[in-house]
Order: sequence, then structure tokens, then C-alpha cells
Amino acid sequence: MASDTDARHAQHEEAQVSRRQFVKRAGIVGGTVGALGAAGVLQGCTAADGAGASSQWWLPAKWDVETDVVVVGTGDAGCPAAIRAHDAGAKVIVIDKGDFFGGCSVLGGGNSQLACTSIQTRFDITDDPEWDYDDTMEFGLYRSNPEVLQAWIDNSDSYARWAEDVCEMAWARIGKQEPARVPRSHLAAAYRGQSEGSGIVISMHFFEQLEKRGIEVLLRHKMTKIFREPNGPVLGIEVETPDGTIAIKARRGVVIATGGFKGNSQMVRAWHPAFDETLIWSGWPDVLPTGDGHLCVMNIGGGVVDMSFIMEFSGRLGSRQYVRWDRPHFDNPSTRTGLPNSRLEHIVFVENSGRRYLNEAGWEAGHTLPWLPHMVAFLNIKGRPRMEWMVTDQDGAEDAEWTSYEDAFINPDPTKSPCIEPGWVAKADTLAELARQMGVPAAALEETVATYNASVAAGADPEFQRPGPLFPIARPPYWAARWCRMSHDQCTGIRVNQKMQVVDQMEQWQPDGGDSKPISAEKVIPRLYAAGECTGGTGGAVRGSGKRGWYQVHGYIAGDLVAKETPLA
Amino acid sequence: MSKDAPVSEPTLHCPEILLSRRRVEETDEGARLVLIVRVSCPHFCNLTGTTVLVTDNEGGELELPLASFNGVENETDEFIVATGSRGGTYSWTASYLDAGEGRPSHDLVTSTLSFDYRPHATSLAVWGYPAHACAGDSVTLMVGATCSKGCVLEGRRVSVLDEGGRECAEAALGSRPWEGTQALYWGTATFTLGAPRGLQRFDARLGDDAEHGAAACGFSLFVAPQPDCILTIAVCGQGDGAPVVGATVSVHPRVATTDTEGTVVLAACAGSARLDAYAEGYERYHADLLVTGDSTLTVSLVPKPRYEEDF
Ligand SMILES: Cc1cc2nc3c(=O)[nH]c(=O)nc-3n(C[C@H](O)[C@H](O)[C@H](O)COP(=O)(O)OP(=O)(O)OC[C@H]3O[C@@H](n4cnc5c(N)ncnc54)[C@H](O)[C@@H]3O)c2cc1C
Ligand SMILES: [Zn+2]
Ligand SMILES: [Zn+2]
Repeated sequence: MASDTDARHAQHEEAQVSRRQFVKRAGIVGGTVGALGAAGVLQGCTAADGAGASSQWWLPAKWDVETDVVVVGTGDAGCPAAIRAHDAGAKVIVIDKGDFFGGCSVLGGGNSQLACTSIQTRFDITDDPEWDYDDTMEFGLYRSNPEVLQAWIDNSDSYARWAEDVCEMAWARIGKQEPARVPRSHLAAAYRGQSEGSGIVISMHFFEQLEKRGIEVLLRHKMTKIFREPNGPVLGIEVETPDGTIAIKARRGVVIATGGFKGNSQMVRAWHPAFDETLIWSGWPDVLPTGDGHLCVMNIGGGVVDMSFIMEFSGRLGSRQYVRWDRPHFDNPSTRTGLPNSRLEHIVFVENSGRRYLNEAGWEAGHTLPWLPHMVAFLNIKGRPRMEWMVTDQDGAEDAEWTSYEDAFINPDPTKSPCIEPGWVAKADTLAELARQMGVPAAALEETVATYNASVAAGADPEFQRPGPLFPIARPPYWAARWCRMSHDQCTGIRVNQKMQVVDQMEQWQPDGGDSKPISAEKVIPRLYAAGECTGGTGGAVRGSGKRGWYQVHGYIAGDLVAKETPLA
Repeated sequence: MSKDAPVSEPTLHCPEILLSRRRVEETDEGARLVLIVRVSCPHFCNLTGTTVLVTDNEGGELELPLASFNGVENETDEFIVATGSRGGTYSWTASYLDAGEGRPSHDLVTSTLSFDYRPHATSLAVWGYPAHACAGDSVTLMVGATCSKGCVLEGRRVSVLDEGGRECAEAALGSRPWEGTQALYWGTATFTLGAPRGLQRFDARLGDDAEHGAAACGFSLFVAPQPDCILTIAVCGQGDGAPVVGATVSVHPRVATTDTEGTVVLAACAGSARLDAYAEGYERYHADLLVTGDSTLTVSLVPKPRYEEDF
């Protein structure tokens, strides 16, 4: 023990010395180069382990396991990567920190956007690569990386056919989703009791293919670090297992497919300070996408793109659960959550203070982005936690079809469909009583509704310009339900090139790093690939719908290429 | 096996705490609140077995274990706190501090919840009045009153005052609560609208009695001139031109829904008017009109693009 500490101490000193020397040599260039030096030194400190490894501090004390390829994550991106790497002749280990297979991918809807495929042709759909490119660019606010986006377009067809021919999946239907001018959203056929178009079907097929090949899948194995030779290749990863920490050597390379970071409220806040309260946990798997891949990659010199765009939001009415699913299994269907929220004509929205705060007509239940007006209105709510209540009368409750959920208003039960949270719904004889149940000031709510009703009578809403016709909130009883905004998934992430290789961000610190060059010409971190929701670049600032298709194609590309790397000794 | 300590792990975690209210119940002695405390740590720590301290504003204390963990949030079981029988603001504070022996400790965090208890609080509702009326029309409306303790308010009187504060009508509350409510005792009031046109505000007022305080509720009516024109409005979908059945069309202050031919007939006054229309699956429509006589109009609604949504 003691010798260990001493060794570490000595290592630390050595690192300090080398940094001072470095800065001295760098002379007046100062700040920038110093920062680069510091990054290198930091690794020296953290990886210090003594045991005679002083000259190779970046290595683990020993490699506990060796393989050709390690894939981190069992979602839509990790699975095709593992299968393809295996089929290209590599020995593959797949790890996942979850205690079940499939990550968010088992829970998500199955819409998979793919471009210009022969499956589309089979369904008489004519697509065009330029349309794919333009649609996605426009939808993503022109922040896609041209080459990364093109890689998805160029590889979609071979992936779609591979999914059928090799993974025994059947594409049953192609739907139209934003931002498509033609249908591109490929939906898998029903399988083993799970319905057509459900996301879990995709995971089931991948799982069976991994099993069939005998590919080792280690659950409850969490990557905590990537080992990289300074300025050199990635060598392997550190993994926390139920039996302790191990180091896995990856002779050909590592594929990071760890999903998004919506479960990491610190990361969300760091990139978008308006999210100053913890986002509501929106369903079982959200404990998994915590940005581990992003953090490990940044720690060895990789970077991230467009992170301030953070994510898409969705929501549920009266429920804090986006999807309810008790311990996911392939034979365990999910439960419907939340109250109907599509008919809002008779509804006003109030926040913590009992006052309106937006034009209700501009509100959307579906996928929303932080810069849309109603999200901005939400972010401007002063109280914490921010509350958004939909308030209406009996006419409105009938119009919105809340009346058929009356029991959920009276006996809310978060464990039974529609999984209503006690305290998140209210029904009362008067607005004052309603306010008492909601926990907002009664006088303010009464005044808000009286003012609104006067606007209704006058035929114009001077406060928020809600377009008519407007309906009064009058006939008792009164009803209210609280809206829950939930992070849905990330738009952006680790910076990769068109081969899904992680770009070496450190190059931008170099004197010639400022030259504008295509991402394919940028230096990469050798043997490090990333795929799926953890990456950025394909779709720019907006993910849109059905991007599982992107993620599957990412994995498909990365798996083949990583297997073809020349193995390390 | 690597012997590295995970250096990025801070030894002091900053959790979040929320004391939240699930239900409020009235009793003879005051109000009872059913509460729950949630503690979440950004590192997803399972904190079950550690305790939350809940204090009230009179120094009372309650220690509660965090009983369940769902992977992110630690929750206590539901627990009950009570107000006194006197009216006023009561508050409770939940605090969490975990010294964390042999594991990371958790910093002190607190969350306060207050509740304004008003015994026998009365409040009013007004409904059933027309969206618009003409000067000289007789207007009938419903007024209801409720007591937070559910007292029978039969026989109590609610007066209706006009903008100048003059009583223009009165309602006597009946013996049975309004359908669908617990204890909203109600009656009707009828009065005749005076000359001024435009928006008129009224107030319904319930006086106090030995047990109950007073209550008031404002409402507004739009007093329109007698209509002198008839507008026939046909609504169709842009593109196919097919009639849109069930579209809502308004020329303020009148609103109607299109019939099976996609048509509504609305009375209107000569002069400028605003036409609004919407139907499910279409973009909203709005136009400013100058009404000069009976006329027939066609409104074509732009269909919204149809997409499959991720769920
Ligand atoms: C309820 C819901 C509905 C959705 N609906 C749709 C939809 O209809 N269409 C659509 O396109 N998208 C949808 N999405 C989003 C979509 O599911 C995800 O974007 C997609 O599945 C991401 O795939 P992935 O492989 O990149 O990541 P994931 O499926 O999230 O997989 C990442 C895996 O990495 C593992 N991991 C993370 N960190 C580590 C670590 N340190 N060590 C080891 N393993 C780690 C995780 O445990 C996880 O299993 C939905 C998401 C949700 C939650
Ligand atoms: Zn913690
Ligand atoms: Zn009473």
C-alpha cells in the first residue's frame, strides 16, 4: 500500500517537472500551448500506477482481457458494429453498463430513417441522394457535417439490405417523417409478439445475431476510461465490473456507442445553463445515457460538436414517466403514460404563480427544441421546480377527453396506465379550490381566468395574442393537469468523420490547425470509433425523427472498419 | 487489475431534494397534507436507508427513511402532516444530509413547502352566460358557491353587481350541488343588459356569515349591436377542395361548427370583423373582413403535413 502511494507521489512530481520544462520551452507562446501540455500531464497523474511502469504511465498495470475489438454499448449503434466486426474476422467483446441488453434502443419507437434504399424501391418510393442531403441539412439548421451526412446516405442501402439478409429482419413498411420529402422511415415487421414498427424488434434481431455468433456480451460492465498512447493509438479501455476494475486490451480498436447524455444533469447544465434544475427522469433507461462516452473521449483528446443544442424534448401530461416498463425484457410490453393532450382549444396554461405565460396555440406536445417560443417561455418561468399547468372547465375536459380519465384525476396511480402522478392532476368545484390542489396562489388563478374570460368576450387576447376563436373557462367542475417536459434524446455529440473515426481535437491547437479542411482530412485518434446518439454531425442541430436509422448505419460503418485495422502486437 | 482510484469522483456529492404535495384533505381540526420527499444525486446514488428530516414551523420533527430507489430518485413513503385548526400559513421543511461512511457523502439540501389554510374558505363560480348578447337582452346565468369544508350553503344569496357596483341581480343557492361537483351549491340570476356596448364586467359576491368569509368572482359579457347581416361561410380543404366538416368558424362574437356540407351561417354586424377558422389536421386560418351586407364566403384551409412521430 505504502509503496503504491509513494510511487504515485513520485510520478506526480515527475509530471509536474515535465510540465514546467514544457512551458519553459514553449516560451512566450504561453496559454494555448501550456493548456495542451497540461492536458498531457493530467493523464500522467491520473494513470500513475508505479509498479515499474514509470516510462509508460498511459498503460494499465496489466491487461486483464485481450481481444481485437471492444464495442461499448448494446443499442442500435453498438450491435451492428459488433456483428460487422465479427463477420469481418475480428474477435469482439461487447460491454454494457446496464443490467439488461439494448439500452434506450429497446424502449424507443422503431422509426429508422434510411436514404435511397432498395427497400424504398420495393415500396415504389423514389428517393434521391440530393433530397436526402438537402432535407437533412435544412432540418438541422445547416449544421450537419457534409461528409458525415453523406456517409449515412451512401451506406443506407447496403445497411438496409444487410439488416434483412444478414440480421434476418424484415422491413415491413416505410413511413413519412420529418424532414422527409418522401417516406424514408423504415419500420421492422412484427416479431415474436412485439408489434410492427416497435423499436424493440430491432434490438431483438440484433441480440439473436450476436448470440448466434457467440459474441461475448458483458452486461454490468462500465467503461470508465480509454487507454491511449500519448498522441498515438487507443489501446483498450478500463472497465468496472461487479467483481472489480479490469483493463481490456483492444488490438484493433474500440467502438464507443454509449448513447446520449440526457441522464447527466451536470453535463446538461454545463452546456445549457438555462436548465438549472434536474430534468425529470423520463423512464427506465435514462439512467444509462449519461455521457460516459463523451467524457472518456474528451479525456484523451477527442471533441464534441454543437453541444449547446443539447437535445430534443418531449413530454407527458399528468405523468412523470415517458414510458413505463418494469424491468425491460423482450416479452414485456410497455405501458401507456399520460393524459390526452392534443385538443387545447378550451385550455389555458399557467405557471407556478398561477399566471399565463405563453400563447397556448404555439405550444406543441411532440418533439420540441430549446429555442422554440414555448420552450423559451418555459425556461423563463421563475419558480423552481418550474410548473406548467393546463387548466380548463368541464367543457374543456370533455373536449380534451379528460373526462374519460376521471378516475385518474381522483385516484392517481403512478404504477397503473396512464401512470398519473399524485399531485400532478386536480379537479375541483371552483377555481380557488383547484388552485389549492395545484399548489398555486388561488387569487392569482382566479384573476388569470377572469382576465382570460374577458379577452374571450372581447374576442382578442392582448396578453399573448392567442388566435381565436377563444372559449371561456366557466362551467364547473374545473380540471387541471401538469405538463412534464422530458429530455427525449441528444442531437449532438462526439466529433467523428465520415468513417466514424473520432477526430483528434488536439490538432486544432497546433500552429497549422487553423486551416479549414474537410473533416476527412483531419487527424483522427487511431483505432477509436464512435457511433450512434453519442456522436454529432449527421443531423446538425436538430435530430428530427427516426434517427435510429442513422445510428444503425453508423455502427454498420464503424464495425467493418475497426475490424480491418492492423492488430497491435 | 488496475489499482487506480477513480480520480474524477468527488467525495462530496450535491444532491437535489424536493418536498412535494400529493393530496390535501380537510378534516374537522384543519387540513391534512399527504407529502412525499424525493432525493436524487447526480451520481445516481442509491440512498435508501438514509433518512430525511422534516420539520414544521413550530419545531416539530419527523425523521423518515428513504424507502425506495428507481435508479435515479430516492423516495420516502407518503407521509401525512396536519395544519392546526386556526387559519394561516403553515410550512414544512425537508432536509437531507448524509455523512456517508465508507462512501461519498452528500451535502446538506433543503426544500420547503407552505400551505395557506383557510378554514371554511368560500369561493364562487359563474357560468352558463352567453358568449355575447345584445343591449336590452335578458341574460340568465348560474352562480355557485362552495365551502372548503363542504358545508351546505343552501339559501345563501349571491348578488351580481354591474361595472358601477350596482346590484343588478340576485341568486338564492339551492339545496343540491351542481352536477359533477362535490359541494357547489348554485342558483340562477337573471338581469337585463343596459345600453353600453362592448365589453362589460360584472362581479358575483357572496357575503360573510358567522362561519364563512365573503367571496367574489368576476366575469365579462360582450354586448354586441343587433346583427344586420348574414354570412354564409363554406370551408374546404386547399388542394382537393373537399368540404371540411366539423370546422370551427368564428366571426366575433359568434362561433359555429360547419355542417355536413362544410358550411356555417353566422349573423354579423356591418363593419370590420375578424374571421377565424380551424379544424383538426389543418393550419389555423384568419382573415380581417369588412362586412357590408349578406354575403357568401369560401375559406380554404391548408392541410398540415402528416408525419409519423417518434413516440
Ligand atoms: C422512450 C423513447 C422513445 C424513442 N423513440 C424513438 C423513435 O421512435 N425513433 C428514433 O429514431 N429514436 C427514438 N428514440 C431515441 C432512440 O431510441 C435513441 O436515440 C437510440 O436508440 C440510441 O441508440 P444508441 O445505440 O446510440 O444508444 P443507446 O440505445 O442508448 O445505447 C447505449 C448503450 O450504451 C451503454 N453505455 C453507456 N455508457 C456506458 C459505459 N460507460 N459503459 C458501458 N456501457 C455504457 C448504455 O447502457 C446503453 O445500453 C427514443 C428514445 C426513448 C428513450
Ligand atoms: Zn451521490
Ligand atoms: Zn363551511
